[in-house]
Amino acid sequence: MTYTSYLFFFGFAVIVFMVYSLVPVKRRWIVLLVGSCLFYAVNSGFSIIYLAVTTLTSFFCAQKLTRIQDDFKAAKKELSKEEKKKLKDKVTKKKKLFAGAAIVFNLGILAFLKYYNFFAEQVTNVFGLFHLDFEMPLVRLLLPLGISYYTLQAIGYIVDTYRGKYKAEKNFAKLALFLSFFPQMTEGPIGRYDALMPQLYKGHTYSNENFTGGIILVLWGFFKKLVISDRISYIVGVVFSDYNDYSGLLIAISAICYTIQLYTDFSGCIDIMTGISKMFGIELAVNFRQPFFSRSVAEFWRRWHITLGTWFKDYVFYSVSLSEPFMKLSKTAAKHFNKFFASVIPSAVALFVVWFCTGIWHGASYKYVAYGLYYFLIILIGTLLEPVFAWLSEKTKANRKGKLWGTIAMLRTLVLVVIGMMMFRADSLMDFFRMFLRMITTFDFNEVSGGLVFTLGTDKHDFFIIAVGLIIMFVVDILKERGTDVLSKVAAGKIYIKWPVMIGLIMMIVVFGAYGKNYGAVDNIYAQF
Amino acid sequence: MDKKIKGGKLIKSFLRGLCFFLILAILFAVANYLTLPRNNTKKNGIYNENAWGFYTEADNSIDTLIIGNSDAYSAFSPLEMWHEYGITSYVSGQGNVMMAEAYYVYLEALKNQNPKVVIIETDAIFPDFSDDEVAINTISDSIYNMFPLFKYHDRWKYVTFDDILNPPNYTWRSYSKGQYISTKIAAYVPEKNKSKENFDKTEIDPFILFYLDMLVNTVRSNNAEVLFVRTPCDKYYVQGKHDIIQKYADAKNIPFIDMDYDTSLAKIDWKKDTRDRGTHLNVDGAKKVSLYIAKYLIDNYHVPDRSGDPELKKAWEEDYKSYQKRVDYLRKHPE
Amino acid sequence: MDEILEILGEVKPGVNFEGETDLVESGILDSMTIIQLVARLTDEFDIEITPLDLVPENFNSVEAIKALVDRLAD
Repeated sequence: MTYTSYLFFFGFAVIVFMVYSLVPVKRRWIVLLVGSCLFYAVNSGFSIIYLAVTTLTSFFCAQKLTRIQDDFKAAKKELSKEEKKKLKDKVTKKKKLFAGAAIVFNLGILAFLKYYNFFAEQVTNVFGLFHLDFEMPLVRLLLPLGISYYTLQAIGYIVDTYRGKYKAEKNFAKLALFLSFFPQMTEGPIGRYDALMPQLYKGHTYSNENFTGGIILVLWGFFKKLVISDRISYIVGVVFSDYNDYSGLLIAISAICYTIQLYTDFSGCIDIMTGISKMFGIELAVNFRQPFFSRSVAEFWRRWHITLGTWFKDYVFYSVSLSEPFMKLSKTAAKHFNKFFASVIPSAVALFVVWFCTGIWHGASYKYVAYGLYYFLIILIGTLLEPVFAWLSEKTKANRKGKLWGTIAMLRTLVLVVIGMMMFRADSLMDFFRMFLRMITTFDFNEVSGGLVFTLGTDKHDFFIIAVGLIIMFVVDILKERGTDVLSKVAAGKIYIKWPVMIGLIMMIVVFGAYGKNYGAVDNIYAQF
Repeated sequence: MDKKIKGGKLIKSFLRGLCFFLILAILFAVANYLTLPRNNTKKNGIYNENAWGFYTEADNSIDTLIIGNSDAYSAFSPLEMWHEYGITSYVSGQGNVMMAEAYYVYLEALKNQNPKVVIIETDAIFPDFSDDEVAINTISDSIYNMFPLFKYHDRWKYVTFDDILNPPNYTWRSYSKGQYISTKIAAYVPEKNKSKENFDKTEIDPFILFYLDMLVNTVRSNNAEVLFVRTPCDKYYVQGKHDIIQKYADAKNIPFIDMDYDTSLAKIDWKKDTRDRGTHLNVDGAKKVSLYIAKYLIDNYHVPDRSGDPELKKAWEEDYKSYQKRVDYLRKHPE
Repeated sequence: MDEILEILGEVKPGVNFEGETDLVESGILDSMTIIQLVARLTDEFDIEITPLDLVPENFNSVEAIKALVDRLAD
């Protein structure tokens, strides 16, 4: 989505909000449901079928799972321990069948829409290698709005009812609202049923603090997107498409710029959506926690796109690593290796699965697979070398919790992340390798001192505004890191604090935003996944 | 008692909101003044400055205003019309223009001109955008023109202290009166090149229609006449478009000259008169179109011959000379 | 208790676990180490730990882990 779509989106949300406030509290959730369906239908028309199918299958599957579980609970009271175990195995098998079918079905839709064409191309290429004239037909597939996000929400819901975390939702309309809630449809965050549903269902009364807090978050999001992200996107586009024309320094700068662009774009969008939800009194899941203050790559991923990371942790990593074959694997490993490796091997395999999936979740391309594996390797190496680090720091008496080490660790993490971002943005995996090679082998300081850097679509004035924007963002983030949520404080504050901030943000966006005839509208990066 | 307090609270918060927007409005006005272009040049932030050159024409000197997209500024030559018939005109064309923008161009022109005839180049009725884009572009163009801050906000980059103290002073003139001068020739072969687009519309897009109606009504309320002209563009001629426009024109009682529907009017030679294989005309094509239209304007609207006004004549003759010089230069130095 | 401390020392050497009360939030135990820990606990105490048990509250301190093991051993 571009900023114009966001403006319309915000306008739409305000209308829904007004209707929401007028309807009796008990029925307010229905306004959200109707608004969400309307939003989806207007945006995607016929594609709403996909959403409906996913909602239907997860609704009935979860109901079945809860019924099997309840029956089991009722039956097991009269059974002996032996019989109980037998019945439990039978029940588990049955549950697995239903949950598995629903998950495979929904994942299948997502996978087909996302990966079919890529797969077909690869098949055609393989046949081409053997000089066989076979062409697997390509299909024009349109990815339905939000499918990468709501499918994960649905699967999380099914798995949780399978595990017995909560009982299945009895009201179809309520589940439909959970899966279609409009602020989450473009870029997430990926919500959890037990956290979100009670909030959606509960009718919230108007609260000044929620309303202003929401508006301030929305403005903050627009500030990130329009003042920083869209402005910096120009130099990124130029250098990444013609990287052969530029030397290492400029490539490195553009990779850093892209990292800034992606963060401000993605977290800005999430801020807008979180702000809109907050107006209604609904707290969406947190998706970013100042990720660039992370001391390790693993920590970065606990703070960046959090809802995706925790989703993979809870539903893939834990499922895989606690499954029977894996428990067996770890036992076999324990027999053959020392204790450290014995415990590392199974979790390493599970970790591989997670990162592979994280990679391809972003899209059908080798570079996304490589992107996932890149992080897998870094985290794995980090874990493997942990004993070495611990031993080293003990020997050298270095204080690993100290400030100096912390700063070094943060910078190291930043470098690794920027390289990952470069892979993420490059046109293809080969382009990334060539670009990376160029980055470390060529050096021309003149490009920066000679001013070439300011002629690539992002001029001196632009960089100045970006710098000011980054400083503001940095201060807000560092305060949040230290426990002060400036934006909420402002929202709860007195008028002479609240108004200048709001008016200041509006004026910054209006005057310094990268919008209008001199700028093309920039699509949100994470909306395409 | 309770209700009273509640009512008081409501009024209080309403006043508060009003206050907030008042402060915002004042700041907008200040920012608006600060970023307003100080001159009507591209360097000063004017987008498509050719279309806005009427500011610096002598007051009330333009009798015919031509509004449209790139087809308009390529196919009309005000100076050829002047040279042959002594009538004065200006082309306000902008590539892919939205009808909303065209409407505001006309309103701007009214500030110092009072055209008796407004020609609308009808290609702008079917812009080359999707329905969504038409909606978004129309709305943003309306906002840009109603609140120039949104249009010119980027000028914060160039504002100087001198600018702030001095009011805007428009000095830039378009000697070609808005025409895009090109002598390039890239032939178009109708038989082979018929790349007719799929056209399945049965009516004018509502966002276009809204501003088209506004434009037509405003022109008429200023005691001026509207004329629809479709300049020759055989390459993209679609019967469906013609029919829809003709229907609208009939309903509104607007004459409609479609030079594709009746190719005998301009007699375009597609081997020589186009600069980009049939999409736009060059100066030779423009001359043919302009002379036909000029004659039509004189015959049907009694647009006056202004060559009797010595001051006007002097200025226009000078511009005509510059125009000719430019054409000669381009012919000798093809790009 | 000592058994658990021993296992903890193996999967995450160099940390003094006694007295810590936010092992998960502070990042000492990340999901990788938790899985290693779970594998060892399952083996050692012959219990079944399910994904539902993998919440921070159950791993934030040695005492919490002990409580979890005791509860599942029943």
